[in-house]
Amino acid sequence: MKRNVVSLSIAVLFLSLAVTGVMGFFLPFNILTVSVHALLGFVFIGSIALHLKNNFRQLKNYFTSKTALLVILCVAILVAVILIQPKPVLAILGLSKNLGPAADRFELIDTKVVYNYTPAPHYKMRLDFKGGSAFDADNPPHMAIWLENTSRYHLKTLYHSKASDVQNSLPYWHYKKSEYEKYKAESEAAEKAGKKQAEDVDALSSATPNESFDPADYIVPKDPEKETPYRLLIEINAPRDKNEHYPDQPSLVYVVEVDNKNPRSYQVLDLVGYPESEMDEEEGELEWSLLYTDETITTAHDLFDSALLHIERSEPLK
Amino acid sequence: MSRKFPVILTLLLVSVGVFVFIIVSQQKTAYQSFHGSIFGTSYQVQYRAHEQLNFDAEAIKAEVEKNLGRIDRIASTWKADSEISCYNRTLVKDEFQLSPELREIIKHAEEIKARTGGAFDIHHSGKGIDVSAIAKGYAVDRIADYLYHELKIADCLVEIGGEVKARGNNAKGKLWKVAIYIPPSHSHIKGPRVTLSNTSMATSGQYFKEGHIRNAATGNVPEHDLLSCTVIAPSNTDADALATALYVMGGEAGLAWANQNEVEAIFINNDGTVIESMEPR
Repeated sequence: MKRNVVSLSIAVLFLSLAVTGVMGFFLPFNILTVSVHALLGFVFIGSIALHLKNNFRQLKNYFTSKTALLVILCVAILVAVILIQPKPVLAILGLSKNLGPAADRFELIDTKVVYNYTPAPHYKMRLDFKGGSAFDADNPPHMAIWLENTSRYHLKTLYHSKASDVQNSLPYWHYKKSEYEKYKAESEAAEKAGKKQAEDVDALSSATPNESFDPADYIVPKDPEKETPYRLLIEINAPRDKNEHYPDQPSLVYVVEVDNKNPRSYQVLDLVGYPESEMDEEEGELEWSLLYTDETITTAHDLFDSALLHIERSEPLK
Repeated sequence: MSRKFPVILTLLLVSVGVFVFIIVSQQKTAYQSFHGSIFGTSYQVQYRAHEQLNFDAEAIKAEVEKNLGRIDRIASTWKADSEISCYNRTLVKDEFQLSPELREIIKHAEEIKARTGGAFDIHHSGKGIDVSAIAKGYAVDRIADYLYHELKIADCLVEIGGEVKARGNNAKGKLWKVAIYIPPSHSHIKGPRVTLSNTSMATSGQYFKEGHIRNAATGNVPEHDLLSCTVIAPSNTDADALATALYVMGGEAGLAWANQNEVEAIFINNDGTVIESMEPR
């Protein structure tokens, strides 16, 4: 291939790789960024191969010099330092907003669900869920897994089924998430307005602004001695699972409370109830709460066998 | 390699050295700022570092966060193991050993309660005491005291969750200027600007969290047309508590009380009218 085509390809591909590489490091994980970076990387390798072919003689001369040995040694040392990860390297890696795809990963294998969530590099959460006898792996029930603070505010949805009628099948989770999104939108609008108003002044005096919407602020303890409690909830429902009392049994909600003081494995077994709505006359909106189950709910109980939440925590990087 | 290269390299290194020296020496006396999170909200500190300051910016931030963390562990009703939560769970209150900080906060709160005829009250029936409406102001005062008295910083501004205290001048050499926040729902209103000369201001309103301010006597959310109430006072502890008290009283009664007690207050109504008890400085 012509030298000018190869050289230009390398230059343009290098620029694209540089941009997507920087984006991949500083922005949260995004599969599109990674796809562009990885696939262009392969094209780049191809272009480099052509470049090597075109310049083989000169490169051969370079590689027989002492400088080549020095360069190889420097790169090898750099790779070794990055692999060993001493504190300065960890500090640089800590600047990255990209915790990788493993930061948030969901897998459904047969009747087992494994969910991995890493809200901070030193805090890893793994939920192993096992479906019960009514759990049909071919037609899995609708399910949502989310985190709440102890004031019962939704913090983060870890997983939810992608079915179109999930609003009806998992009403409690949907209600909590909608409320959260409403508050978050209001808070973002308020923050934007505040920044605009603060352009020509040193500070703003206001009522106390809303709290952070970053789940890590609620579940990753800043002080290892503190509890930083939160809750993990699972709502599960098999659509059209009728019994003699219901044409479609309601969803059931299970919970575990995590105190964080002594990270360990938690058994998620506490059934807290099924959702029931009530009209809030003042707001004109439906409000959902949980009611205790009774004997009218039958096979819905068999969707859930067990769930184990495991937390692995190390000291945060200073 | 060109013969000129060592000369160019030396010149380049000297230039970089001079540049770094200028930046570092400027930073020593320049205005610094840092921010973070505390009490479930954000805080910011701006100050002018002076020559004799032995602390670097990181050490000052660490000390400020240590002080804020201590007040949070004392006064947070959100934390089950905070001092106030333990106090509220104790049956025999007289036997509970209060920390000097919590004792001071409660003392201030009782004084404001007496002055405002109970419009500000930290006692909530069945729930013990809740000092959320005064603790941020108290923390602002403690941080400002630390910067001024311990570090001898003459020019500084401390802000926690919208409560502000300022001393000296800003980076432009002028008095610190603070705007009263207007929520997006009322964007037709222009937030009044206030210049602070060694004083503080606190604002109370329900636009971020509906129904969180209640009349302690009735337990009801105040029903009036006030968007917010701002109080300007030397002590941010007082300003914080008084802003809540005047908001509970409402525009008319609050304005009358502020004028009678010579408290500088700014009331903003939902329709955009701004009423000031005294001429803001």
